[in-house]
Amino acid sequence: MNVQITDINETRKTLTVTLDKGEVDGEYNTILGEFTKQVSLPGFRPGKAPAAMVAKRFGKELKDEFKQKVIGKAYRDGLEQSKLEVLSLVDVEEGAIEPGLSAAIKLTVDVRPEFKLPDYHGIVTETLPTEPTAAEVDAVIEGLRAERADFKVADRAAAKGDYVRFGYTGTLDGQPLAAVVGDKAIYAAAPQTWEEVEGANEGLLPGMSKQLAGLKAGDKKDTTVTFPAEFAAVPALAGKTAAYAIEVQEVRERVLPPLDEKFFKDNQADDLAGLQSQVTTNLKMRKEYENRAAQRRQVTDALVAQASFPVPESLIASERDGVLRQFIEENMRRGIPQEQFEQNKKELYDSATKAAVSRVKVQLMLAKIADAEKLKVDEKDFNNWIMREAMRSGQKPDKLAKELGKDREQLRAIQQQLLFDKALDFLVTKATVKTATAKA
Amino acid sequence: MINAEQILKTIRLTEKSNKLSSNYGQYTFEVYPSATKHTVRAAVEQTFKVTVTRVNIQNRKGKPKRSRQGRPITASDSKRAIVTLKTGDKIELT
Repeated sequence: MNVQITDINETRKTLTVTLDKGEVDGEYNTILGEFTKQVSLPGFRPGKAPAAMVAKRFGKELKDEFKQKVIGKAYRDGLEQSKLEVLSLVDVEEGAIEPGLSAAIKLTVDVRPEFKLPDYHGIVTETLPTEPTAAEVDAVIEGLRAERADFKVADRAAAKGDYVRFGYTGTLDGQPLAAVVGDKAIYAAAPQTWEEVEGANEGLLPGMSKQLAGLKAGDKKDTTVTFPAEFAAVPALAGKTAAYAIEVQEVRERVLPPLDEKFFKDNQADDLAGLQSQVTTNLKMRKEYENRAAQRRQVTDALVAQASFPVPESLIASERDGVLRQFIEENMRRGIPQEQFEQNKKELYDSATKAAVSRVKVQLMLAKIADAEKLKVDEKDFNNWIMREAMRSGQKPDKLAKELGKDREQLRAIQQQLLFDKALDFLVTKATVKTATAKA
Repeated sequence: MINAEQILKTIRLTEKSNKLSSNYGQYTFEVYPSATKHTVRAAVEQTFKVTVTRVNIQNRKGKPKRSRQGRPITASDSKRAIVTLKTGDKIELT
Protein backbone atom coordinates (compact mmCIF):
# COMPACT_ATOMS: atom_id res chain seq x y z
CA MET A 1 0.00 0.00 0.00
CA ASN A 2 1.12 3.45 -0.82
CA VAL A 3 -0.28 6.74 0.39
CA GLN A 4 0.46 10.06 -1.24
CA ILE A 5 -0.66 13.34 0.20
CA THR A 6 -1.19 16.39 -1.95
CA ASP A 7 -2.24 19.70 -0.51
CA ILE A 8 -5.09 21.54 -2.13
CA ASN A 9 -5.02 24.22 0.48
CA GLU A 10 -4.08 24.37 4.12
CA THR A 11 -7.03 22.41 5.34
CA ARG A 12 -7.93 20.34 2.31
CA LYS A 13 -5.76 17.47 1.17
CA THR A 14 -5.94 14.74 -1.38
CA LEU A 15 -4.88 11.29 -0.32
CA THR A 16 -4.05 8.95 -3.13
CA VAL A 17 -4.12 5.47 -1.70
CA THR A 18 -2.82 2.69 -3.89
CA LEU A 19 -3.73 -0.82 -2.84
CA ASP A 20 -1.79 -3.61 -4.52
CA LYS A 21 -3.26 -6.72 -6.07
CA GLY A 22 -2.89 -8.89 -3.00
CA GLU A 23 -4.71 -6.47 -0.74
CA VAL A 24 -7.56 -6.01 -3.19
CA ASP A 25 -7.89 -9.77 -3.62
CA GLY A 26 -7.83 -10.27 0.12
CA GLU A 27 -10.75 -7.88 0.49
CA TYR A 28 -12.61 -9.63 -2.30
CA ASN A 29 -12.16 -13.02 -0.73
CA THR A 30 -13.34 -11.90 2.66
CA ILE A 31 -16.43 -10.33 1.20
CA LEU A 32 -17.12 -13.39 -0.93
CA GLY A 33 -16.69 -15.56 2.14
CA GLU A 34 -19.18 -13.46 4.03
CA PHE A 35 -21.67 -13.70 1.20
CA THR A 36 -21.24 -17.45 0.88
CA LYS A 37 -21.89 -17.89 4.55
CA GLN A 38 -25.22 -16.13 4.37
CA VAL A 39 -26.63 -17.12 1.02
CA SER A 40 -29.04 -20.00 0.63
CA LEU A 41 -29.49 -21.49 -2.85
CA PRO A 42 -31.90 -24.27 -3.86
CA GLY A 43 -30.20 -27.63 -3.60
CA PHE A 44 -27.80 -26.46 -0.91
CA ARG A 45 -28.11 -26.05 2.82
CA PRO A 46 -27.78 -22.40 3.83
CA GLY A 47 -24.16 -21.33 3.66
CA LYS A 48 -23.04 -24.47 1.82
CA ALA A 49 -23.31 -23.24 -1.76
CA PRO A 50 -19.95 -23.12 -3.57
CA ALA A 51 -18.32 -19.70 -3.67
CA ALA A 52 -18.03 -19.67 -7.46
CA MET A 53 -21.75 -20.18 -7.80
CA VAL A 54 -22.50 -17.45 -5.26
CA ALA A 55 -20.17 -15.05 -7.06
CA LYS A 56 -22.02 -15.68 -10.30
CA ARG A 57 -25.51 -15.42 -8.83
CA PHE A 58 -24.91 -12.31 -6.72
CA GLY A 59 -22.36 -10.60 -8.94
CA LYS A 60 -23.86 -7.12 -8.71
CA GLU A 61 -24.44 -6.97 -4.99
CA LEU A 62 -21.07 -8.47 -4.39
CA LYS A 63 -19.37 -5.87 -6.51
CA ASP A 64 -21.04 -2.96 -4.75
CA GLU A 65 -20.15 -4.30 -1.37
CA PHE A 66 -16.64 -5.01 -2.49
CA LYS A 67 -16.19 -1.46 -3.73
CA GLN A 68 -17.41 -0.04 -0.44
CA LYS A 69 -15.09 -2.28 1.44
CA VAL A 70 -12.04 -1.36 -0.62
CA ILE A 71 -12.77 2.33 -0.27
CA GLY A 72 -13.31 1.89 3.44
CA LYS A 73 -10.01 0.10 3.77
CA ALA A 74 -8.25 2.74 1.71
CA TYR A 75 -9.72 5.47 3.92
CA ARG A 76 -8.81 3.76 7.16
CA ASP A 77 -5.32 2.84 6.08
CA GLY A 78 -4.77 6.18 4.44
CA LEU A 79 -5.63 7.96 7.68
CA GLU A 80 -3.47 5.66 9.68
CA GLN A 81 -0.45 6.09 7.47
CA SER A 82 -0.78 9.78 6.76
CA LYS A 83 -1.40 10.59 10.44
CA LEU A 84 -3.80 13.34 9.43
CA GLU A 85 -6.54 14.48 11.77
CA VAL A 86 -9.41 14.27 9.36
CA LEU A 87 -12.58 16.17 10.10
CA SER A 88 -14.64 15.16 7.12
CA LEU A 89 -14.48 13.31 3.87
CA VAL A 90 -15.29 15.64 1.03
CA ASP A 91 -15.00 13.52 -2.06
CA VAL A 92 -14.03 10.05 -3.16
CA GLU A 93 -12.76 9.35 -6.62
CA GLU A 94 -12.18 5.70 -7.23
CA GLY A 95 -10.72 4.26 -10.37
CA ALA A 96 -11.56 0.77 -11.52
CA ILE A 97 -11.81 -1.55 -8.54
CA GLU A 98 -11.67 -5.16 -9.69
CA PRO A 99 -10.45 -8.28 -7.98
CA GLY A 100 -7.06 -9.23 -9.34
CA LEU A 101 -6.08 -5.65 -10.10
CA SER A 102 -4.41 -3.03 -7.99
CA ALA A 103 -6.63 -0.09 -7.10
CA ALA A 104 -5.90 3.61 -6.77
CA ILE A 105 -8.35 5.65 -4.73
CA LYS A 106 -8.29 9.41 -4.47
CA LEU A 107 -9.76 10.75 -1.25
CA THR A 108 -10.33 14.44 -0.71
CA VAL A 109 -10.49 15.23 2.97
CA ASP A 110 -10.70 18.23 5.23
CA VAL A 111 -8.21 18.09 8.05
CA ARG A 112 -8.17 19.75 11.42
CA PRO A 113 -6.10 22.89 10.94
CA GLU A 114 -2.94 23.06 12.92
CA PHE A 115 -2.66 26.02 15.17
CA LYS A 116 -1.14 27.00 18.43
CA LEU A 117 -3.55 27.77 21.18
CA PRO A 118 -3.20 31.29 22.44
CA ASP A 119 -2.80 31.68 26.17
CA TYR A 120 -6.28 30.98 27.34
CA HIS A 121 -5.69 31.42 31.03
CA GLY A 122 -6.71 34.74 32.37
CA ILE A 123 -8.74 36.11 29.52
CA VAL A 124 -9.90 39.44 30.78
CA THR A 125 -13.62 39.61 31.26
CA GLU A 126 -15.68 42.41 32.58
CA THR A 127 -18.60 41.91 34.91
CA LEU A 128 -21.07 44.27 36.40
CA PRO A 129 -21.57 44.39 40.17
CA THR A 130 -24.25 41.95 41.19
CA GLU A 131 -25.38 43.68 44.38
CA PRO A 132 -28.58 45.47 43.47
CA THR A 133 -28.92 49.05 44.59
CA ALA A 134 -31.79 50.21 46.75
CA ALA A 135 -33.15 52.21 43.84
CA GLU A 136 -33.30 49.09 41.66
CA VAL A 137 -35.11 47.16 44.36
CA ASP A 138 -37.59 49.98 44.77
CA ALA A 139 -38.13 50.12 41.03
CA VAL A 140 -38.96 46.42 40.95
CA ILE A 141 -41.42 46.79 43.83
CA GLU A 142 -43.00 49.77 42.09
CA GLY A 143 -43.29 47.60 39.01
CA LEU A 144 -45.05 44.93 41.06
CA ARG A 145 -47.48 47.54 42.34
CA ALA A 146 -48.10 48.86 38.85
CA GLU A 147 -48.96 45.34 37.71
CA ARG A 148 -51.67 45.17 40.34
CA ALA A 149 -52.81 48.72 39.88
CA ASP A 150 -56.49 49.54 39.84
CA PHE A 151 -58.02 51.99 37.40
CA LYS A 152 -60.66 54.21 38.91
CA VAL A 153 -62.90 56.66 37.16
CA ALA A 154 -61.65 60.15 37.93
CA ASP A 155 -63.82 63.21 37.67
CA ARG A 156 -61.06 65.64 36.85
CA ALA A 157 -58.84 66.75 34.02
CA ALA A 158 -56.59 64.02 32.64
CA ALA A 159 -52.99 64.18 33.82
CA LYS A 160 -49.91 62.18 32.91
CA GLY A 161 -50.36 58.49 33.53
CA ASP A 162 -54.14 58.54 33.37
CA TYR A 163 -56.07 56.55 30.84
CA VAL A 164 -58.53 58.35 28.64
CA ARG A 165 -61.38 56.84 26.68
CA PHE A 166 -62.33 58.86 23.67
CA GLY A 167 -63.82 58.65 20.20
CA TYR A 168 -62.33 60.31 17.16
CA THR A 169 -63.02 61.19 13.55
CA GLY A 170 -60.18 62.11 11.24
CA THR A 171 -60.08 64.48 8.28
CA LEU A 172 -57.31 65.27 5.84
CA ASP A 173 -57.50 68.67 4.17
CA GLY A 174 -61.17 68.87 5.09
CA GLN A 175 -62.00 65.48 3.52
CA PRO A 176 -63.00 62.47 5.65
CA LEU A 177 -60.08 60.11 6.10
CA ALA A 178 -62.11 56.99 5.35
CA ALA A 179 -61.43 57.26 1.63
CA VAL A 180 -57.68 57.64 2.12
CA VAL A 181 -56.93 54.82 4.54
CA GLY A 182 -58.72 52.06 2.65
CA ASP A 183 -59.31 48.96 4.72
CA LYS A 184 -57.43 50.34 7.76
CA ALA A 185 -60.63 52.08 8.91
CA ILE A 186 -59.33 52.42 12.45
CA TYR A 187 -57.11 55.29 11.30
CA ALA A 188 -60.09 57.21 10.01
CA ALA A 189 -62.50 57.06 12.92
CA ALA A 190 -63.37 55.01 15.99
CA PRO A 191 -66.29 55.29 18.42
CA GLN A 192 -64.02 54.63 21.38
CA THR A 193 -60.43 53.81 22.23
CA TRP A 194 -58.16 53.93 25.26
CA GLU A 195 -54.96 55.88 25.40
CA GLU A 196 -52.51 56.60 28.19
CA VAL A 197 -51.84 60.27 28.65
CA GLU A 198 -48.20 60.94 27.75
CA GLY A 199 -47.60 57.22 28.02
CA ALA A 200 -44.27 55.62 27.29
CA ASN A 201 -45.73 53.61 24.42
CA GLU A 202 -46.95 55.39 21.37
CA GLY A 203 -50.58 54.53 20.69
CA LEU A 204 -52.22 53.94 17.35
CA LEU A 205 -52.09 57.58 16.32
CA PRO A 206 -48.60 59.04 16.73
CA GLY A 207 -48.45 61.97 19.11
CA MET A 208 -52.09 61.68 20.14
CA SER A 209 -51.32 60.75 23.73
CA LYS A 210 -49.53 64.04 24.26
CA GLN A 211 -52.59 66.04 23.33
CA LEU A 212 -54.92 64.46 25.86
CA ALA A 213 -53.65 66.10 29.04
CA GLY A 214 -56.03 68.53 30.66
CA LEU A 215 -59.20 67.13 29.10
CA LYS A 216 -62.20 66.13 31.16
CA ALA A 217 -64.96 63.65 30.44
CA GLY A 218 -67.32 65.17 27.86
CA ASP A 219 -64.67 67.60 26.50
CA LYS A 220 -64.23 67.97 22.76
CA LYS A 221 -61.04 68.98 21.07
CA ASP A 222 -59.62 69.29 17.58
CA THR A 223 -56.20 67.77 17.38
CA THR A 224 -53.68 67.36 14.60
CA VAL A 225 -51.58 64.28 14.08
CA THR A 226 -48.47 64.34 11.95
CA PHE A 227 -47.60 60.93 10.61
CA PRO A 228 -43.91 60.06 10.21
CA ALA A 229 -42.34 60.12 6.75
CA GLU A 230 -42.27 56.35 6.75
CA PHE A 231 -45.54 54.93 7.93
CA ALA A 232 -45.75 51.28 6.98
CA ALA A 233 -49.26 50.63 8.27
CA VAL A 234 -50.92 53.12 5.92
CA PRO A 235 -48.49 54.40 3.30
CA ALA A 236 -51.06 56.91 2.06
CA LEU A 237 -50.77 58.80 5.35
CA ALA A 238 -46.97 58.91 5.47
CA GLY A 239 -45.70 62.44 6.05
CA LYS A 240 -49.24 63.88 6.08
CA THR A 241 -50.84 65.91 8.83
CA ALA A 242 -54.40 64.93 9.59
CA ALA A 243 -56.95 66.60 11.82
CA TYR A 244 -58.79 64.50 14.37
CA ALA A 245 -61.82 65.68 16.24
CA ILE A 246 -61.91 63.84 19.55
CA GLU A 247 -64.49 63.57 22.25
CA VAL A 248 -63.41 62.40 25.67
CA GLN A 249 -65.80 59.95 27.25
CA GLU A 250 -64.03 58.94 30.43
CA VAL A 251 -60.86 59.57 32.39
CA ARG A 252 -59.43 56.90 34.63
CA GLU A 253 -56.53 57.22 37.00
CA ARG A 254 -54.11 54.56 38.01
CA VAL A 255 -54.35 53.70 41.69
CA LEU A 256 -51.43 51.70 43.00
CA PRO A 257 -52.22 49.16 45.71
CA PRO A 258 -50.92 50.19 49.12
CA LEU A 259 -47.92 48.40 50.55
CA ASP A 260 -50.02 46.42 52.99
CA GLU A 261 -50.19 42.88 54.19
CA LYS A 262 -52.38 41.74 51.30
CA PHE A 263 -49.91 43.05 48.79
CA PHE A 264 -47.03 41.28 50.57
CA LYS A 265 -49.00 38.09 50.74
CA ASP A 266 -49.78 38.21 47.04
CA ASN A 267 -46.05 38.38 46.44
CA GLN A 268 -45.24 35.61 48.89
CA ALA A 269 -43.60 37.81 51.50
CA ASP A 270 -44.39 38.68 55.10
CA ASP A 271 -43.54 42.33 55.23
CA LEU A 272 -41.71 45.05 53.37
CA ALA A 273 -38.29 43.83 54.49
CA GLY A 274 -39.16 40.31 53.37
CA LEU A 275 -40.30 41.52 49.99
CA GLN A 276 -37.20 43.63 49.61
CA SER A 277 -34.89 40.75 50.43
CA GLN A 278 -36.80 38.52 48.05
CA VAL A 279 -36.51 41.03 45.26
CA THR A 280 -32.86 41.52 46.09
CA THR A 281 -32.07 37.83 45.77
CA ASN A 282 -33.97 37.60 42.52
CA LEU A 283 -32.22 40.60 41.12
CA LYS A 284 -28.88 39.28 42.25
CA MET A 285 -29.50 35.94 40.62
CA ARG A 286 -30.54 37.56 37.41
CA LYS A 287 -27.51 39.77 37.42
CA GLU A 288 -25.20 36.89 38.13
CA TYR A 289 -26.76 34.96 35.29
CA GLU A 290 -26.35 37.91 32.99
CA ASN A 291 -22.77 38.30 34.11
CA ARG A 292 -22.06 34.67 33.38
CA ALA A 293 -23.58 34.93 29.94
CA ALA A 294 -21.62 38.12 29.31
CA GLN A 295 -18.41 36.46 30.45
CA ARG A 296 -18.97 33.55 28.14
CA ARG A 297 -19.60 35.92 25.31
CA GLN A 298 -16.47 37.87 26.11
CA VAL A 299 -14.36 34.74 26.30
CA THR A 300 -15.75 33.60 22.96
CA ASP A 301 -15.02 36.96 21.41
CA ALA A 302 -11.51 36.89 22.80
CA LEU A 303 -10.96 33.46 21.30
CA VAL A 304 -12.24 34.51 17.91
CA ALA A 305 -10.06 37.59 17.98
CA GLN A 306 -6.98 35.49 18.58
CA ALA A 307 -7.83 32.81 16.08
CA SER A 308 -5.81 33.20 12.95
CA PHE A 309 -5.93 29.90 11.19
CA PRO A 310 -7.65 28.61 8.09
CA VAL A 311 -10.96 26.91 8.62
CA PRO A 312 -12.01 23.82 6.65
CA GLU A 313 -14.67 24.59 4.08
CA SER A 314 -16.85 21.60 4.76
CA LEU A 315 -17.26 22.61 8.39
CA ILE A 316 -18.15 26.14 7.41
CA ALA A 317 -20.68 24.84 4.94
CA SER A 318 -22.47 22.66 7.44
CA GLU A 319 -22.38 25.32 10.13
CA ARG A 320 -23.64 27.90 7.67
CA ASP A 321 -26.56 25.70 6.74
CA GLY A 322 -27.40 25.40 10.40
CA VAL A 323 -27.20 29.15 10.94
CA LEU A 324 -29.33 29.89 7.91
CA ARG A 325 -31.94 27.31 8.80
CA GLN A 326 -32.21 28.63 12.32
CA PHE A 327 -32.46 32.20 11.11
CA ILE A 328 -35.14 31.45 8.56
CA GLU A 329 -37.16 29.35 10.96
CA GLU A 330 -37.05 32.09 13.54
CA ASN A 331 -38.21 34.71 11.10
CA MET A 332 -40.88 32.53 9.57
CA ARG A 333 -42.35 32.18 13.00
CA ARG A 334 -42.38 35.93 13.26
CA GLY A 335 -44.33 35.99 10.03
CA ILE A 336 -41.79 37.37 7.61
CA PRO A 337 -42.67 36.12 4.14
CA GLN A 338 -40.41 33.88 2.16
CA GLU A 339 -39.94 36.43 -0.62
CA GLN A 340 -38.06 38.67 1.70
CA PHE A 341 -35.40 36.03 2.23
CA GLU A 342 -35.13 35.57 -1.49
CA GLN A 343 -34.44 39.25 -1.92
CA ASN A 344 -31.66 39.43 0.64
CA LYS A 345 -30.35 36.03 -0.24
CA LYS A 346 -26.82 37.15 -0.86
CA GLU A 347 -26.52 39.29 2.23
CA LEU A 348 -28.00 36.55 4.35
CA TYR A 349 -25.60 34.06 2.91
CA ASP A 350 -22.61 36.29 3.54
CA SER A 351 -23.53 37.09 7.10
CA ALA A 352 -24.27 33.43 7.79
CA THR A 353 -20.85 32.51 6.41
CA LYS A 354 -19.22 35.05 8.64
CA ALA A 355 -21.04 33.76 11.68
CA ALA A 356 -20.24 30.20 10.72
CA VAL A 357 -16.52 30.91 10.37
CA SER A 358 -16.25 32.38 13.82
CA ARG A 359 -18.35 29.62 15.32
CA VAL A 360 -16.23 26.94 13.72
CA LYS A 361 -13.09 28.68 14.92
CA VAL A 362 -14.37 28.77 18.47
CA GLN A 363 -15.40 25.16 18.29
CA LEU A 364 -12.04 24.06 17.00
CA MET A 365 -10.25 25.98 19.70
CA LEU A 366 -12.55 24.75 22.43
CA ALA A 367 -12.06 21.21 21.29
CA LYS A 368 -8.33 21.67 21.49
CA ILE A 369 -8.55 23.27 24.90
CA ALA A 370 -10.75 20.47 26.15
CA ASP A 371 -8.19 18.06 24.85
CA ALA A 372 -5.31 19.91 26.45
CA GLU A 373 -7.07 20.18 29.80
CA LYS A 374 -8.37 16.61 29.61
CA LEU A 375 -11.96 17.69 29.99
CA LYS A 376 -14.42 14.88 29.52
CA VAL A 377 -18.16 14.70 29.31
CA ASP A 378 -19.33 12.20 31.89
CA GLU A 379 -22.65 10.66 32.67
CA LYS A 380 -23.53 13.34 35.17
CA ASP A 381 -23.28 16.05 32.57
CA PHE A 382 -25.48 14.02 30.28
CA ASN A 383 -28.08 13.49 32.96
CA ASN A 384 -28.11 17.17 33.77
CA TRP A 385 -28.59 18.00 30.16
CA ILE A 386 -31.40 15.52 29.79
CA MET A 387 -33.16 16.90 32.84
CA ARG A 388 -32.84 20.43 31.55
CA GLU A 389 -33.97 19.53 28.06
CA ALA A 390 -36.86 17.49 29.39
CA MET A 391 -37.99 20.41 31.49
CA ARG A 392 -37.72 22.77 28.56
CA SER A 393 -39.65 20.63 26.11
CA GLY A 394 -42.06 19.22 28.66
CA GLN A 395 -41.16 15.58 28.05
CA LYS A 396 -40.43 12.88 30.54
CA PRO A 397 -36.68 12.52 31.11
CA ASP A 398 -36.80 8.73 30.72
CA LYS A 399 -38.53 8.98 27.38
CA LEU A 400 -36.11 11.58 26.14
CA ALA A 401 -33.14 9.50 27.20
CA LYS A 402 -34.58 6.49 25.42
CA GLU A 403 -35.14 8.42 22.23
CA LEU A 404 -31.64 9.81 22.34
CA GLY A 405 -30.24 6.35 22.80
CA LYS A 406 -31.56 5.44 19.38
CA ASP A 407 -30.02 8.39 17.59
CA ARG A 408 -26.28 7.98 17.56
CA GLU A 409 -25.63 11.05 15.47
CA GLN A 410 -27.56 13.34 17.74
CA LEU A 411 -25.98 11.84 20.79
CA ARG A 412 -22.57 12.66 19.45
CA ALA A 413 -23.60 16.19 18.62
CA ILE A 414 -24.89 16.67 22.15
CA GLN A 415 -21.76 15.25 23.62
CA GLN A 416 -19.72 17.67 21.59
CA GLN A 417 -21.91 20.56 22.63
CA LEU A 418 -21.55 19.61 26.27
CA LEU A 419 -17.81 19.36 25.90
CA PHE A 420 -17.69 22.84 24.38
CA ASP A 421 -19.84 24.12 27.20
CA LYS A 422 -17.50 22.60 29.69
CA ALA A 423 -14.46 24.06 28.02
CA LEU A 424 -16.11 27.45 27.94
CA ASP A 425 -16.98 27.21 31.61
CA PHE A 426 -13.43 26.23 32.31
CA LEU A 427 -12.19 29.30 30.48
CA VAL A 428 -14.58 31.48 32.40
CA THR A 429 -13.34 30.13 35.71
CA LYS A 430 -9.78 30.79 34.63
CA ALA A 431 -10.59 34.22 33.33
CA THR A 432 -9.43 37.35 35.03
CA VAL A 433 -12.47 39.16 36.24
CA LYS A 434 -12.64 42.89 36.21
CA THR A 435 -15.64 44.44 37.84
CA ALA A 436 -16.82 47.45 36.00
CA THR A 437 -18.38 50.27 37.88
CA ALA A 438 -22.11 50.09 38.00
CA LYS A 439 -24.04 51.84 35.34
CA ALA A 440 -26.28 54.45 36.76
CA MET B 1 -25.89 -35.95 -34.88
CA ILE B 2 -28.54 -36.28 -32.19
CA ASN B 3 -30.88 -33.73 -30.68
CA ALA B 4 -29.46 -33.15 -27.16
CA GLU B 5 -32.53 -31.22 -26.09
CA GLN B 6 -34.59 -34.39 -26.33
CA ILE B 7 -32.19 -36.29 -24.10
CA LEU B 8 -30.87 -33.95 -21.37
CA LYS B 9 -33.46 -32.16 -19.21
CA THR B 10 -31.28 -30.16 -16.85
CA ILE B 11 -28.04 -30.37 -14.97
CA ARG B 12 -28.56 -30.96 -11.25
CA LEU B 13 -26.97 -28.37 -8.99
CA THR B 14 -27.04 -29.64 -5.44
CA GLU B 15 -24.60 -30.16 -2.65
CA LYS B 16 -24.24 -33.77 -3.56
CA SER B 17 -23.72 -33.19 -7.29
CA ASN B 18 -21.33 -30.40 -6.49
CA LYS B 19 -19.23 -32.77 -4.44
CA LEU B 20 -19.16 -35.29 -7.27
CA SER B 21 -18.19 -32.75 -9.88
CA SER B 22 -15.49 -31.05 -7.89
CA ASN B 23 -13.93 -34.24 -6.49
CA TYR B 24 -14.43 -36.82 -9.21
CA GLY B 25 -15.23 -34.96 -12.40
CA GLN B 26 -18.70 -36.48 -12.43
CA TYR B 27 -21.69 -34.43 -13.51
CA THR B 28 -25.30 -35.27 -12.75
CA PHE B 29 -28.07 -34.70 -15.31
CA GLU B 30 -31.81 -35.17 -15.28
CA VAL B 31 -32.59 -37.01 -18.49
CA TYR B 32 -35.73 -38.04 -20.35
CA PRO B 33 -37.02 -41.56 -19.73
CA SER B 34 -36.13 -42.56 -23.26
CA ALA B 35 -32.46 -41.66 -22.84
CA THR B 36 -29.84 -44.39 -22.81
CA LYS B 37 -26.18 -44.41 -21.76
CA HIS B 38 -25.15 -44.07 -25.39
CA THR B 39 -27.43 -41.18 -26.23
CA VAL B 40 -26.51 -39.35 -23.01
CA ARG B 41 -22.80 -39.73 -23.82
CA ALA B 42 -23.33 -38.36 -27.31
CA ALA B 43 -25.52 -35.51 -26.10
CA VAL B 44 -23.09 -34.39 -23.37
CA GLU B 45 -20.06 -34.60 -25.65
CA GLN B 46 -21.85 -32.66 -28.33
CA THR B 47 -23.27 -29.93 -26.05
CA PHE B 48 -20.32 -29.26 -23.76
CA LYS B 49 -17.44 -30.25 -26.10
CA VAL B 50 -15.93 -32.68 -23.61
CA THR B 51 -14.92 -36.32 -23.61
CA VAL B 52 -17.11 -38.67 -21.60
CA THR B 53 -15.44 -41.78 -20.15
CA ARG B 54 -18.40 -43.33 -18.36
CA VAL B 55 -22.16 -42.93 -17.98
CA ASN B 56 -24.17 -44.35 -15.08
CA ILE B 57 -27.94 -44.26 -15.24
CA GLN B 58 -30.38 -44.35 -12.33
CA ASN B 59 -34.10 -44.87 -12.68
CA ARG B 60 -35.70 -43.26 -9.66
CA LYS B 61 -39.22 -44.19 -8.69
CA GLY B 62 -41.46 -41.29 -7.82
CA LYS B 63 -42.20 -41.01 -4.11
CA PRO B 64 -45.70 -41.47 -2.78
CA LYS B 65 -47.14 -38.07 -1.97
CA ARG B 66 -50.44 -36.54 -0.98
CA SER B 67 -52.37 -34.40 -3.38
CA ARG B 68 -53.66 -31.04 -2.29
CA GLN B 69 -57.03 -32.65 -1.69
CA GLY B 70 -55.38 -35.23 0.51
CA ARG B 71 -55.64 -38.14 -1.90
CA PRO B 72 -52.52 -40.30 -2.16
CA ILE B 73 -50.66 -39.69 -5.43
CA THR B 74 -47.23 -40.55 -6.74
CA ALA B 75 -44.58 -38.01 -7.75
CA SER B 76 -43.25 -38.50 -11.27
CA ASP B 77 -40.52 -41.03 -11.83
CA SER B 78 -37.18 -39.56 -12.88
CA LYS B 79 -34.10 -40.73 -14.67
CA ARG B 80 -30.66 -39.44 -13.77
CA ALA B 81 -27.39 -39.86 -15.57
CA ILE B 82 -24.08 -39.44 -13.77
CA VAL B 83 -21.51 -38.66 -16.42
CA THR B 84 -17.78 -39.08 -15.77
CA LEU B 85 -15.52 -36.89 -17.88
CA LYS B 86 -11.95 -37.41 -18.98
CA THR B 87 -9.55 -36.05 -16.38
CA GLY B 88 -9.10 -32.32 -16.91
CA ASP B 89 -12.36 -31.81 -18.78
CA LYS B 90 -14.88 -29.49 -17.15
CA ILE B 91 -18.44 -28.29 -17.51
CA GLU B 92 -19.08 -24.74 -16.43
CA LEU B 93 -21.79 -24.79 -13.78
CA THR B 94 -24.12 -21.89 -13.24
